[in-house]
Amino acid sequence: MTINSDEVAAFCAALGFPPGHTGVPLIYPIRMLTDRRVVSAIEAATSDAVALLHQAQSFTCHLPLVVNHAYRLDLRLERSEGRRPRLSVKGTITAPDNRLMQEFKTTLVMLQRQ
Amino acid sequence: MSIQLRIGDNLEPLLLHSIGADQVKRYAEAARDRNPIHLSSAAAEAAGLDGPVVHGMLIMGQFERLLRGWQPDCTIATLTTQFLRPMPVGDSLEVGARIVSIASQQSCTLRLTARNSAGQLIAIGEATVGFVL
Repeated sequence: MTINSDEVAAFCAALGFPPGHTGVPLIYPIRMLTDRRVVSAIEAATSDAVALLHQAQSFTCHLPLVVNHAYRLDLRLERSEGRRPRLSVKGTITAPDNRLMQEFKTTLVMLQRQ
Repeated sequence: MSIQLRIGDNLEPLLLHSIGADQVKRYAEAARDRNPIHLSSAAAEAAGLDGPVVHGMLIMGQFERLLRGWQPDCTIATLTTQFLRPMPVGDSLEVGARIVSIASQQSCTLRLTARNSAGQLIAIGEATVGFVL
């Protein structure tokens, strides 16, 4: 996936960062979860939920992401059952030379129809 | 550059007087997160919510914004957040941070809080921040 500078600028503006902010926000990889292939995988794992609610999120930065550079995203989805089932999405972002850039974990609660 | 860090110091809080539907829609477009519980009353109510709620990541993004406003050149090594309760669209938000540990004046850990207009905790988190001296 390529980090597009215009998309980073729009993301920063939507969060309220001051104009002219440079750099890729640490939380920017959350946007990668909206890639069509990722959405399809999450939808398949949570097909019995009426909606997903964000419960927890973590990011670890080993090296900062750079705009207009391409990275590899690897994901692992794990579903846990219970009164409110949850889906955890663990992501690893690496550079083309295999340097580990960032890791993140997203925990989603699966809401059922009321 | 010299940064004086003390355990217990609070950062100047970040106040957002209202996170309204327009801002939520802007974030949804920029983040490509069009989960309808953030944008549609009907979808939110079908999921058992009282109405549309602000994206958790829009709240978490305010933690990063607070830290960048405090020390623009810092490196954020880790950032974690737990979302404790949904925040209705239109409510206000106060984001704060307190230094809870220091490692040799080159990095510190901060405890992060986000509160709604009633003073209730919406989200809590922690960040490890480094400085280039």
